[in-house]
Amino acid sequence: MSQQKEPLFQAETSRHDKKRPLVKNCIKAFVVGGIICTIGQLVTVLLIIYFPFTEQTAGNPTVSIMVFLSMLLTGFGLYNKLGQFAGAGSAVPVTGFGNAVVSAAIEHRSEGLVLGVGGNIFKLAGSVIVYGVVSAFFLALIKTLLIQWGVL
Amino acid sequence: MTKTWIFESKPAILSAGISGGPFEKESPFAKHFDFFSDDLYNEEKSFEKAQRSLIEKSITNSLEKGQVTESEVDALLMGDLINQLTPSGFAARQFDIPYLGLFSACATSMQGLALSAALIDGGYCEKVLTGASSHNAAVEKQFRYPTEYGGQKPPTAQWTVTGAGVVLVGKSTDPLAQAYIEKATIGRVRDINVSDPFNMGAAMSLAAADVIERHFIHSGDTVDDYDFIVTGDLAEIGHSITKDILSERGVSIPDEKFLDCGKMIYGNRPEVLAGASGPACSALMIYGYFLDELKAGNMKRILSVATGALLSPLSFQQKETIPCIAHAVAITSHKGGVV
Amino acid sequence: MKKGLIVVILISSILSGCVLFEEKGASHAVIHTSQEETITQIAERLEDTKELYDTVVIAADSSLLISYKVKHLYRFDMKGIEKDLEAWLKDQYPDQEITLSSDYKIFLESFQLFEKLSQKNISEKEALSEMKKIISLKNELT
Repeated sequence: MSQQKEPLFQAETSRHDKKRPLVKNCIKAFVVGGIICTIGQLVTVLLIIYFPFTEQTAGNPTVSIMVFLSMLLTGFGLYNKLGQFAGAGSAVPVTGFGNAVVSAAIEHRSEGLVLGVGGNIFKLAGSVIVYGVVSAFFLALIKTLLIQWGVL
Repeated sequence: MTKTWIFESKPAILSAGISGGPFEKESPFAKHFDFFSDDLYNEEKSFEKAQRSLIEKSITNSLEKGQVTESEVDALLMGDLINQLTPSGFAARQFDIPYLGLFSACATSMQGLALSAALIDGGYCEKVLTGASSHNAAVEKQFRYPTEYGGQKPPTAQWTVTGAGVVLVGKSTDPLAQAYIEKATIGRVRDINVSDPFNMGAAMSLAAADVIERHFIHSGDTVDDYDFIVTGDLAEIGHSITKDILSERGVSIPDEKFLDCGKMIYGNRPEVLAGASGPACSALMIYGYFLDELKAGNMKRILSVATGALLSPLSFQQKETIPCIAHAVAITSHKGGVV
Repeated sequence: MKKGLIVVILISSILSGCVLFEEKGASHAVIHTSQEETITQIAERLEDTKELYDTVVIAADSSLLISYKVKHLYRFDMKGIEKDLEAWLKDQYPDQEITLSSDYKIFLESFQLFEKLSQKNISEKEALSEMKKIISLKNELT
């Protein structure tokens, strides 16, 4: 039996490979991400002016509202189009998290509420939660130790 | 020993049933397809069920157009990409036809056609139904991300075709014969060391080049014997790489003769990125457009090369490179053979 | 239609920025007249702090409410500014409960209270309870 993997054709594959347009994608991500954050800031300001939230406490409800908006957009089938255009611009803000959760939930609705939606809703967002909690734990540990030793 | 199957009796394609989704309806080749679902669900509850219903529709259509009943068909050879070939198997449940499930990923259409021709040429069957299907959202769900997930796809990504293409294959003496299956070369699994599932065209290019080269060597044909050499779903990148590899190996095919279903089927729509893919891609184009052209006499002989990436969602997460397969079938409009 | 929507959202969000940065100047008011001297003192001190622009000082017998806005360029040093001010206030008025905040919401509420006080359409009792409310809002944590 001969070696089935042929290591050649590097030149052919790379010659025709299409790279992601990095600069263009960065600009798009910057603009769209900026717009999403501006909307978020608008929500914060509205919450501060019309509801009893301070700059400190307005953060959490703002996040909820932004996630809710992205859930609506996902449900209407618009967020994936935005995602294709904006890339990281729509994935990095918290709206991307909402989209990851809801898209998985919609996708697996056909397998039922328990095993389908329940089991798969964090298919994509689960790793964000896991590594978010893990890194938060270690950061808190480091901070506690530094305070204990009097560095901070 | 020859490695190209030569079918002495020239089994014929008698009829075709082609169905597609709403996106395929906008294809420049839509007039060669029979049925389109209004949305991705086709009045079913899930994408997988929708795919099954599209297969059923195609089988019914090809039976009707071939003027045969289920009991006159000796075998049903079908394949798709979904887990354990459920759409094909479930669709076969509706018909009283002996069933064989096939898997060559996107090369299933030509695997089925070659096998059907062999079954008929060998005298085991009189009439065989064969086809392949895929469903954009069902494939996205299984291999990539949820349909509504806002991830950005690279420009090398391909768009899986929604649809099912089924043909009825019979003896060349049948009055309904539209085109004849002459030869088939079964491909070897090749791996070009691509592990990116968003760059399947490049992964499949070597398998395609390999089978085309072998077809010419073993059958004794030359490029000039064919009007067109049509690959399945290599799309832009894979198609160019295949051409390069072939010319390095001494097989030069002029650009106007070397077509790709994945590049053709949607015209120039930007949202499909590099092109189309999926078992239905080659099935829709070969059994739809090319069969009609052969029947009308606009083309004399084509070499249809469907290409498939033999990956699973698990294999690429485990960082394996993608082994690929391609099968070549020569289809002609002439019963006599040599053109 | 989609483009129109985006433009509307953009314009409204840009305009909403104007609300935030509208300058109100230095304002100060007392609830108990005995504190007149205190607020002039504090106002002078705040005037000397070049990092601040709008400020509101409200003084009652036992408590002081100071809220301010920091100029944009100095926002990186907000903690330091707050620390300096707090130290100075604690030193000057050790008997009083001091509430110091750069939070926009606190500023907004304090400014409203200041307006009511300066127009004199609020009773001493109401003013005190409102001040208490603002202080509790400040101490609220997420």
